[in-house]
Amino acid sequence: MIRTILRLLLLIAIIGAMAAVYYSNDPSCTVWYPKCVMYAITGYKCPGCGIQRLFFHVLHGDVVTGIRYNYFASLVLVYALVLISGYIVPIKGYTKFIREHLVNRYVAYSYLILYVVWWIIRNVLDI
Amino acid sequence: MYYYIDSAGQQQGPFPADILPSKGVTGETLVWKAGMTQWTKAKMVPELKNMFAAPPVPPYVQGQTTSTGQAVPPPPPSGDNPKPDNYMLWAVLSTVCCCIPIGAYAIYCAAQVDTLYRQGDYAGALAKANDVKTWSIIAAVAGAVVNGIYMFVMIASSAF
Repeated sequence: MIRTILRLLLLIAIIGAMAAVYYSNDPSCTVWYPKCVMYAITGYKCPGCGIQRLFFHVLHGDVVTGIRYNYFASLVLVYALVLISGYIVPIKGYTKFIREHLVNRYVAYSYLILYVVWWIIRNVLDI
Repeated sequence: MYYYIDSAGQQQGPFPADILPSKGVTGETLVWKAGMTQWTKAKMVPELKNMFAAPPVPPYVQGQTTSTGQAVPPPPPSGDNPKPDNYMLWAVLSTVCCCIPIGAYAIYCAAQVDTLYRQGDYAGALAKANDVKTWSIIAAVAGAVVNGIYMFVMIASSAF
């Protein structure tokens, strides 16, 4: 129990610290954020490119601008939030529901296909 | 010293018998100790049954040891185990937060956890779930290392 609470506090601290960093600095205007190495070397965007700008704009309340930087990551972050809620929300059967229906093999394989398709499409259409 | 299977399906222990209730072990929890052949509900274990009030006591079977004489827990039983966590969350985050597509392999392993669990291979599913964790970490570390090297090269090259 104490371990669970400590983990939760650690998670909140990490998310809070990251939010503070991404709120206060625009990734487009500073050199100190991690850059995508794939983009720097090949000129092709990786599936996660734009996620830092997405964070910045969403944290400033401009969700629409944020989502436009990476549509796929936007969906994935919502999905991730749902999965995180499975660890936190103390409703009986909720965690079980998530394990049965939201992280099963169909979801995992669909995710892999979407990931690759998005990777190709965003480079073809330059989004 | 007893091992037990927690509500998430993970093996825990070993712990002395008298602190098991404080760990959340109930009469229905599967427990095992050196000398037992199978994971058994705590209320069925003679030594524990007073702790978890329950009437029936099955015959006590002498257990196995390995060739080295070291007692090891048998593989957790399949079937009525809850589905284990396949760490999909970490696999997913590792695919979008670092540029290197190693996280894709973690996702593939997460799918395998589900497949193995459905086939009744509980131990295999647990092992695969561990692979998901490992490869998510590898993806994150590799991303950080590659980025670190890249930044170092950029800074070094701009210095000259």
